[in-house]
Amino acid sequence: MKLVQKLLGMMGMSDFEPSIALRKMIQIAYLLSFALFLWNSLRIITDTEGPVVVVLSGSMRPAFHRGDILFVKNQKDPYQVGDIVVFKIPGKEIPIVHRILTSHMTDEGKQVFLTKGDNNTVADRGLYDYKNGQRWIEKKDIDGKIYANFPYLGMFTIWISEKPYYKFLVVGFVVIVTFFSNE
Amino acid sequence: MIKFQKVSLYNSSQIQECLDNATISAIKKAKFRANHKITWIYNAIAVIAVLCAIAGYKFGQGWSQTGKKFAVFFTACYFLIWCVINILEKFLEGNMMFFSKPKTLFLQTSNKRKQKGNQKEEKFSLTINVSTDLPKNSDLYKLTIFEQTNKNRWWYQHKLRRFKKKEDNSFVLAEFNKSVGNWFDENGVFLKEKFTSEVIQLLENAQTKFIDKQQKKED
Repeated sequence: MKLVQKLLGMMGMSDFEPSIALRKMIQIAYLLSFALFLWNSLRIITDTEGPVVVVLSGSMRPAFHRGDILFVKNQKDPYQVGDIVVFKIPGKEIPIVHRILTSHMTDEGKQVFLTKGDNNTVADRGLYDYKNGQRWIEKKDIDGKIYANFPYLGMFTIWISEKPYYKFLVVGFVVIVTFFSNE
Repeated sequence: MIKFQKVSLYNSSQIQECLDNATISAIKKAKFRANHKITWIYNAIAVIAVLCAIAGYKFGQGWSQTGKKFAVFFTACYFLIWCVINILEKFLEGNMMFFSKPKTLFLQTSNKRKQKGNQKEEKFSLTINVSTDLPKNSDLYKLTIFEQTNKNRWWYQHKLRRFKKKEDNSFVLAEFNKSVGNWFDENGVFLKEKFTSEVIQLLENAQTKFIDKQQKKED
């Protein structure tokens, strides 16, 4: 401990106390956890895993562009043709945002859908889990319907996800500044 | 090279923070030991809140029926804990004064004094709280040293009787209510030595008043 204090003294931090540092770290973690709480609350309110998504491609132009932020909400009512929905294909992590092209009821009484991006020339059947016989998507595959969007606000998220080291750099910078501030 | 702290004279929260930090260092200089029990309780509650937030996020992955229920449960727990922390901070500490919220620094001292002659060591344990307040649009900084532990030992209560008693049954051991102009010059430079010497003097007066009367009786 004395060696640590000496080293800190050489760096001009002679009044550094480990217990104060631990308390500050707990306070930073608590502040960050509030962001998690807001995200969890948004999930519960919208009844969807991803209440906010960022458009990564131009397949829905001119309605949505790459970098747009979309707000998603699940609904109990059946989805209609023309609704723009977010859905996931089994085995693929990234959700897709496309418009419902057609829908019909199966013999088992389930509603199934075929989707297509506005800027695509063909429907999404090629994107589905074709190998396992998926020709349509069902309500359980749909995370929710788009009810609002913010243009281009998600470009920063795309940039960070394309360069993951920058993510750690930004978060690390924020943590260091908060740690050494007196607030 | 001596570094002088400088604040904006128009920012009362900055002035109060500067004076509060100097108060803490003065109290430590006077050999008082800080007791961070309350802070550690807050931090323990905050750690539980952090774990609830993480659990709520993890269980929400996939958004299955079971995961949803756990996510709702942990999010509700986090919200309750957040409310508890806010209530503790606002009402527990905010109960001290009516119009403004002073910061309370909880401290405890264990002061050893040697008796003359038979070289016997006696331990006088005085538990103090320090409360500071600098209302908005005011330049008067109030520092109060008071005792609030309600220790039952008869000799402790007997010693406290010579001090002024407040409505909440705490005893004011010492206080001052002075203009901040006493410790800051016109450029906002803080005269730390002057301030800390005044605080130490106040503490020593409180200790002396607490201890000396008993020593005089035993001589």
